[in-house]
Amino acid sequence: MTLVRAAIAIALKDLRIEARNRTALLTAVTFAVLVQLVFLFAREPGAVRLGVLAPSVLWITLALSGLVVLNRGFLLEREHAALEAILLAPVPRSALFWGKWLANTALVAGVLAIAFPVWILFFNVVPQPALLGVLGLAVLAAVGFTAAGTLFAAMTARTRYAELLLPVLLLPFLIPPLFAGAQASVRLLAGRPFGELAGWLRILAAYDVVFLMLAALLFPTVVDE
Amino acid sequence: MPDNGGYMVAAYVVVAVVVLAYAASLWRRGKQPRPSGRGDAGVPNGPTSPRPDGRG
Amino acid sequence: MTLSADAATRAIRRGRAITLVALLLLAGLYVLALQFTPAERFQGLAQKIFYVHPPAAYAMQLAFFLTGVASILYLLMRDARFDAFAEASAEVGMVLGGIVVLTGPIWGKPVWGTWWTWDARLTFTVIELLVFAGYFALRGAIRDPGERAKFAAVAGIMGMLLVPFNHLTVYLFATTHPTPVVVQTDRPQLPAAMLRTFLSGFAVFTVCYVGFVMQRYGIGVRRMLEEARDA
Repeated sequence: MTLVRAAIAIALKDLRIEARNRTALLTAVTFAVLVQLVFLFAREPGAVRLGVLAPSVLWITLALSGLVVLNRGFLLEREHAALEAILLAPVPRSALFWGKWLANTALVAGVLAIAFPVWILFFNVVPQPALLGVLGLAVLAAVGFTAAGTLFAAMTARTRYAELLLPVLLLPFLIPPLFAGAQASVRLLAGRPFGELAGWLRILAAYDVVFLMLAALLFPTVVDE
Repeated sequence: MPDNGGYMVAAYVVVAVVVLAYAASLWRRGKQPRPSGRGDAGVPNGPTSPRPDGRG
Repeated sequence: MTLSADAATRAIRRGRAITLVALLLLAGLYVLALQFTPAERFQGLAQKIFYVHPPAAYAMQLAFFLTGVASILYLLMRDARFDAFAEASAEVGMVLGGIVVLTGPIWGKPVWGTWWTWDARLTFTVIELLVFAGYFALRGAIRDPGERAKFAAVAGIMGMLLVPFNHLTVYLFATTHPTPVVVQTDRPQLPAAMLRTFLSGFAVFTVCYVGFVMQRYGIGVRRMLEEARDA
């Protein structure tokens, strides 16, 4: 139980910091809205209907704002040499991973909470119950890639090229959840039967489980001196 | 039979060029680090880092 | 430190000998493919790219897989030799992957009518190359040898675990790629002469890999020793 409690404490610490100055979340949300806007203008309005583009934009927004959030988590620790302090605390190393992951996932979810309604508005998505399913898919995808991202960010934050290196390392890991999520959400919005989604959901779930476990396993190696 | 031997030649040339170029790069990088060290003697001038196993 | 300059020199020398053999074998493979293997009726001579493209792809996968294995061993034993091997194998894998993505379109153009299709295996190769480009970017960004080895090992293991997911993804994404017709037990599809040349291709690229990786390993060990001396 100490693991869970320590993880939650670390996550709350991060979230409290973000809540206090609000800059990161505000920036990430602004970023997420801007990405969508950029997509609107990067198409031929007469030729490409918004509805066709909508699912892709949602997933790319999730991926890019996820990167922004992840990059921040460990740079924050580096700035104040706070990581060393946390490592001194008598909690298991993996608690740090779970805490960081929890905070990152919560932040991505926070960004999504605003970006998602904006997306519905911008792309004239018909409000329908299936949208809740799409949101669920986005969270399911975020769980896995923030796991890989938390691990990678812990490494890249120690280098001189953190902002450049994290996307390069992480984007290949985004491809499977992005693809499965996009496929499932297109089918969900088209009102296809659940049977057509099951395969994609299984891929997402398998991805989440594998990379959560692997990242938790490898994380202590990364932060150990 | 379609006449596309040119593609085959191009591919084979590409493979040969890449393999040879990499082999040449390894050859260059694998030369003894110190030019004064005698070729393949395996003993660079001066002691390198301490060698606990003491073999060789 | 379990690295030794003598061992590095030995690895380089043996690697050079094996590479020389590999180059001769590659020349032999060309002769075999061009002179002693019949041309395929429907695809024409371009089909003979078949004798180098899949073998290179296989050798690339072997290289990246062994990088992953060496990464695990490094984290378990903390022996710098595993790090040197992982790096060597990853670099050779990049070169072999380069061959795959260069010869793929050259084959695709006459057969599919277009240079690039987002076919599963080609896409997979590109993703793999990008994963390991990231691996080298990470290595290049870290100066401390111990930390570099540790982080690279983590990235190598992650890369290895990504392989099945990427395989699945790209196959579901699309495939116009010819499915393997070589190992079908019910009826042999490939004429014996073609099969012989094809399998020879695999052997040649395996020898290439071994020769390259041994040389690169020795070079890497030397570099690490220099680093340790300068530190």
